[in-house]
Amino acid sequence: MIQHHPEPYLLAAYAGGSLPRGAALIVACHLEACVLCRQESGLWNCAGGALLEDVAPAPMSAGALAQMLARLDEDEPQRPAPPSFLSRFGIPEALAAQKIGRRRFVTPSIWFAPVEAPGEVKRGAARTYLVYAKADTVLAEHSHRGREFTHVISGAFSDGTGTYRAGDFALTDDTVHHAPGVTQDGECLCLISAEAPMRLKSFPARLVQAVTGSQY
Amino acid sequence: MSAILIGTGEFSGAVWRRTWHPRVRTGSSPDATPRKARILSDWSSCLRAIAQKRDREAFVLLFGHFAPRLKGFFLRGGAGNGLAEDLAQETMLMVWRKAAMFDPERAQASTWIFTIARNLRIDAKRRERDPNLLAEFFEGVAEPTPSDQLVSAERCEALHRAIRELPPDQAEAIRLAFFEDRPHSEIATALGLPLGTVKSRVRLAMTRLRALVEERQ
Repeated sequence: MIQHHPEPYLLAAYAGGSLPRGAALIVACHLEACVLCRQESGLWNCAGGALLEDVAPAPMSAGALAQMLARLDEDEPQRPAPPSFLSRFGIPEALAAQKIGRRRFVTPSIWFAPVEAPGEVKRGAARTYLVYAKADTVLAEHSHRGREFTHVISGAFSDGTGTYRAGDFALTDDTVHHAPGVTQDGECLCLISAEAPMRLKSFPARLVQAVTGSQY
Repeated sequence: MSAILIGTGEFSGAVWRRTWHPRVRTGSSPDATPRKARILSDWSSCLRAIAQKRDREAFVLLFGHFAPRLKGFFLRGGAGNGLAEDLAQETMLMVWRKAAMFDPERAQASTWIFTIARNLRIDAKRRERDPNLLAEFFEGVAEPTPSDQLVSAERCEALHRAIRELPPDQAEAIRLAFFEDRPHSEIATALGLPLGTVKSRVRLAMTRLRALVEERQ
């Protein structure tokens, strides 16, 4: 049973295409898991259809149709196959359509994998990634400079604000300092999108961050 | 024919129903349903024809109706003229490629096309921030996902009518909710209204829409 949902204004912003790409991906994953939010978002999509019908049409340029018709026979880009390390998890369709990079272990029981084009991963930019942790692991205590969106794909984690299980949505902002821990009963795989890199609180954790070059 | 349709930007559904889809006109009781509803269901027929027969004529009709509206939508969302036109083209290309995913029983053509446009808008904002991403701009993300098609076409039509009947301030709140991802701060500032007012207007509008849709079922 899904306990944590995106707030209504996020569903509206998602429907309108106003969310940042990573956050939109997280919401899309939640929608696949949550029938309640899917119904709400369906209403917003309909509102979008009405908006599209009623918006003031802007004339296309003279050659637009000819240009368009010439492109219809172009080859369709192929969707990349998800990496093999994800094959034992059932991953959402919306995530399967993304480019997923190589995983990097930061400790023997925690790994990260970027979910974006290689050129996009650069210091200070928004980032989206998968994080996996084995049972009974606690992540270094940290806070966030901006908002951080999370979708739990598999397993569960807990922090001061609650327990999040498969399908749950979590949103933290710069007021939250937390050290999320994976529950004892199993591993946890999450999709996370942060507006800015996390800030690690303790010195050893910062050292690990420096040594591994991890920007998460 | 296509040049005329595109040139006018907006064309009457009746024009092409005569030439392309006579079944609608000569059907048992074509006047029993409102004109708008007939036109919308015809867009579904266009999508089906594209999916089943790669029908270019149907595509030209869809393009004539939707491309200028899509461009209008992207302009409204803050894109410049050139980008809005490119995005309208990309949306229509995706419509051509993915038409088989459209299920007329479960979604309205305009809503389905809107969800593709919305996904492209999300990716366009990413490109704005980082122009180096041009090469991989349109890959993957705009694919319609199963989660985008849940409200039936019938219910959706009721909702469209309901939206047109909303009081102006609620209709505007709905539009703003679409184009801003933080009603908590920016919308309130933009409108010079207290935060709570903005949030309650969106909530009110949604409650009203839901009620109106249920009433009509």
